Amino acid sequence: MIVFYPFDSLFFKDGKPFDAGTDTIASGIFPPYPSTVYGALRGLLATYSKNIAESDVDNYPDNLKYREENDIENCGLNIYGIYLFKKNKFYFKVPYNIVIPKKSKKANFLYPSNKNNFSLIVSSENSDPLKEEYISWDYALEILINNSDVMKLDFEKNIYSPFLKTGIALKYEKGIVKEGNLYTARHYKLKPDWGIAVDFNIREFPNTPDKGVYKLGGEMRPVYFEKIEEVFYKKEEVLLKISEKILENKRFFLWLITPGIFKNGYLPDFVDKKSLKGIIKIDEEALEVSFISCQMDKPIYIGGFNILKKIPKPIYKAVPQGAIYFFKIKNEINKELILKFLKRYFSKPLDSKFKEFQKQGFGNALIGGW
Amino acid sequence: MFKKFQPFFIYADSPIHAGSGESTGVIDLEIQRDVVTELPVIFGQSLKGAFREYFELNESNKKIVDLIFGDEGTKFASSVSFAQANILLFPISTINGIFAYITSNYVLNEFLKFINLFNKLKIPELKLKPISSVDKCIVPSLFNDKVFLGNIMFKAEENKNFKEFLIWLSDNLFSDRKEYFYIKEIVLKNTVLVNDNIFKELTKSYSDIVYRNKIGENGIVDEGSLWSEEYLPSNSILYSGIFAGTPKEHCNNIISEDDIIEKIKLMFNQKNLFIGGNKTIGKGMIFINFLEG
Repeated sequence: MIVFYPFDSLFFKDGKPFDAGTDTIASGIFPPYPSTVYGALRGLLATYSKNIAESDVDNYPDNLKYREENDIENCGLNIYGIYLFKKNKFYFKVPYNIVIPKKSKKANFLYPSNKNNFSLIVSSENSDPLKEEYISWDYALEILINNSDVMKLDFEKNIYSPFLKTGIALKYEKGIVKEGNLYTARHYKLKPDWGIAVDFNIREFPNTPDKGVYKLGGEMRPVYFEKIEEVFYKKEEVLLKISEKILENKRFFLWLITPGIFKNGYLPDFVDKKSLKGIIKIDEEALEVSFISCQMDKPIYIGGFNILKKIPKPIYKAVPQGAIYFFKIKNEINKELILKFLKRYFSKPLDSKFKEFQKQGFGNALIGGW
Repeated sequence: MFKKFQPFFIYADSPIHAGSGESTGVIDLEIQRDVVTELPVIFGQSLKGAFREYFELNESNKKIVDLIFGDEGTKFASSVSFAQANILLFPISTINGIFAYITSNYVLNEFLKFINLFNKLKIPELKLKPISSVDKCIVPSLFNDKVFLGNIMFKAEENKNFKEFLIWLSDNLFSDRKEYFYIKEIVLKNTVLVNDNIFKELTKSYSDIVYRNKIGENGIVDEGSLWSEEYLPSNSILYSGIFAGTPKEHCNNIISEDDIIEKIKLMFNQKNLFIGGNKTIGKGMIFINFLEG
């Protein structure tokens, strides 16, 4: 795992086109798309291992090479998860089924209701959704084991602050401003000590230093990177706790912690759109599931810019991070099967028909029981 | 990608207006400030522009300029990145001398964190406890137990560790440049460590605010042409760094990040250049000094 700590602000452009001028603002986003982080990590591993320039893609190590979008499946790099990180703790976007009633400070966990056979998530009180809040792993685990008795969930707010950076260009020989080159871009500044952690795997790990400096996002913003060993989800006792909760009612939920791009639109690709049933393969076995309900915000639009071809990438509609999906398990299950399921899928990108997005870390989900 | 790092100090020979491009308060043209800490900064883009301008005017080979700062078309990106310049010592009026510098625990911690990332410099370790009280300060040597900064009185306490750090800092800010000897003495003897919140508020209250107007052809003020500008005061000291990566192409013996740093040092070390706006009225003159290991 690697953590990126920015020195100052970061700029991640969204998919919309931008040109300089008084009426336009380059809209920035935060957190960055997994594809942005994938590109940066690939460049970092290649340039540090072979002492080449980032643009020298022809000389990248074989396990990091690809020239075309559809060739990404041959690239040996896979991103499993992208998280916010501070002082050895991982943080996740709060799922959309956690709300705070207006007259209370205690968070409510909302689950599908069985009334009238509609599987709706309802709140009995007037509640505020949590759109910008993050939660540390300790509290996330309480959500995953459905511990709604937990007295207080500590949310982290305002981890990153947006601000507009305005710039101009000068005609140096004349000492005056170049016309038409006024630009404004929305940057984000993380609070001190916060970073972006990336969990990844690569076929044949290249020889790279444990720390250094690289660029992340637009405008060549430098970031300090550091390798870490800590991974929150590999502890057996954690997965056991969650599996016990899932076994209790034969129900689980998927909590997206990175945006998900699915051919099915808002539904993960393993769910059939008409029957709302799905199969999750686990080696020789499988879970037969039926989709009950979900809670999410408006879709986001993921695009980008192909630096090699110098053309914008296609824009895809994506489910935002924080979305939560509820499922029932239909077939017979046991503890071993559920543990295998968690070891295979917990904090990993969901299987997707868009293999390139899955590789880049889109659709990473935590799994819990309800 | 950025395998070489070169930190440097910036000394404001004259007030600096690195503009934020927007105004949120009563001042029409505010300086750049960090959005989280509200401390004065100079964005990396402003530094890069100023350095590029000086480089272009003093380097005859345009290819070298493009190699280091990026091709202005779409051929290749810059080989360097400039970190945002953060305030290290902020000048403030005092009755204890011609002026004093203020700094704070947060500022010094951030500076040391930045410098210590890659460079094996022998910097005295700072073991200062945060100052929780707003009316207390730490000084390198105690001449008087009361210090007046602006119009605020602080109770002073001497700290030898702080003094050791200031000795190192004053030796490295200007190297051996004799014309800055007096400023080095002020850093050494008249630098005061204050509470973080006090530091933030003083950098807001004691920035230079200048009111300007425009005189029309009839010899009187043009209506509606009064405006206010904010400046980082003269004598301010900031720090930043240049990160250099492998150049995208090769030119004239510039084939590695080490060559880029050497070229930049040759061009800028211990030089004066201009940054920010209003240079034709004497603003924005800075002195650059690279920090050597």
